[in-house]
Amino acid sequence: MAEPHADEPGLIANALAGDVAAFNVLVERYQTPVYNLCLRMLGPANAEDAAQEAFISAYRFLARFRGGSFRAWLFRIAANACYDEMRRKKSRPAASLDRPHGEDDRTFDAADIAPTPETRAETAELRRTLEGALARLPGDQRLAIILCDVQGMDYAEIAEVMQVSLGTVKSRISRARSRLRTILLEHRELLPDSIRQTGESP
Amino acid sequence: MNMFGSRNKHPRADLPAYADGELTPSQSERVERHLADCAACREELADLRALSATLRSLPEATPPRSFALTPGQVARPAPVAGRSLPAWAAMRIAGTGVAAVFALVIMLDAGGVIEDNRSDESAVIAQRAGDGFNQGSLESTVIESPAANLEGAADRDITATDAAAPVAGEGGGIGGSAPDADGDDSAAPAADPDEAAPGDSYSLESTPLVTDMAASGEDSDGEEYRDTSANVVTDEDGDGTNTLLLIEIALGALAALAIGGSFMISRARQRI
Repeated sequence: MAEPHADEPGLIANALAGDVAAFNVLVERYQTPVYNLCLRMLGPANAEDAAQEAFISAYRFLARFRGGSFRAWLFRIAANACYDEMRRKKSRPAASLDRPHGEDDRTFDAADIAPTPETRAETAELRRTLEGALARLPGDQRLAIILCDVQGMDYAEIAEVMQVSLGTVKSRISRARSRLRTILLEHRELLPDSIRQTGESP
Repeated sequence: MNMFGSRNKHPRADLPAYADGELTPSQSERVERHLADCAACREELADLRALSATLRSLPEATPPRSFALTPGQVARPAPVAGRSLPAWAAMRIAGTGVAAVFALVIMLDAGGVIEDNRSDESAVIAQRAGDGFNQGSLESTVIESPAANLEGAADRDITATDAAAPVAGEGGGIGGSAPDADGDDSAAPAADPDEAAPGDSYSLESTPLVTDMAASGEDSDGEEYRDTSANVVTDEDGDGTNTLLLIEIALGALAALAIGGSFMISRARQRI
């Protein structure tokens, strides 16, 4: 999943030479994860704009990409677009980057995220609960947990996206999980058996 | 084994990383030894895993549309490595603010010319101000105006903005913190408002226009003039209204800065 696509250096070189179509191949490749990142960070009202902004910025600053994981670089730009958006609407009770303990700094109503048809009402409720909890996390913790659990990145790649040390990634994920776990414990009955069994002691 | 050390310290902080397989082998081993003896940590680990599994099961949304770049979005030629966006934005905002002050100076001074000359010349000057900073008009309006307006202050019923604006042009020098390079840099974009292109402002720093303007701005006394310009104003005026005047100047400049800045912010946002 984290494997870099072999054709990416070529596509990037062509894009730098002015070939927009080459860049758009990259856009098509990453637009779903980038959009989902923005969606979890900002909610549906602003996710679309932030995602578009991220790709435009990525094109504009493509010359600054110095190799390595293009996905991590692109996600960093997308995360910055999200932070910009969060700052922009700070007049509303917004996710604060400097108030790590703020309880009311959710940026959006998780119920806004389009519901998907669910076969199990409990699962749907659990997801809603978790999405609401995610939306309440401080921005940095939210980003870390999204990259880890939703996008499936390892800590090294998350550190690259967030431009922080591995230790910082570890502690952000740890704190985010601990807050989410508190919420989870209040809704233990919602957990599907299949998931619940995963980590049970023998 | 290891019942003593492991039981005393719950490796709480390490459990999430352990669940993610991000611990070193020796760290993992230590956690596992503890888990073997600690039901509470096993339970916590189970919760953490359930949490991750649930997060992973969140449905992935399909983008509402393609984000492929259109020709309009890439009108700017590709990607030049350069300064960071915030620095760029700050320069643009500051530059525009000073440009707004300049524009204000020119316009208000043109108004002063109407009173003095009562001729159609003002229209010409206003035209010049709009078209671009013709050096001749700049000198006649900006450089000469402070003295003219200040001398007339006693006689004429001068409005706050009228009095403030012309000196505000010199204000860039008074403060000293807004160097000529900044003010002049911004004058060029103001002269050609349609060409507000990101990155272009950098190259303007070295255009002949800038050099000319800088020269005309301090053609009398050079650097010395700027350092002592506050005193110069005091001497010229010589009465108690001077402090008020300076405050008005500062307020006027701030207002122009705010207007110009907010305009550029919205514009920059649209373009990014």
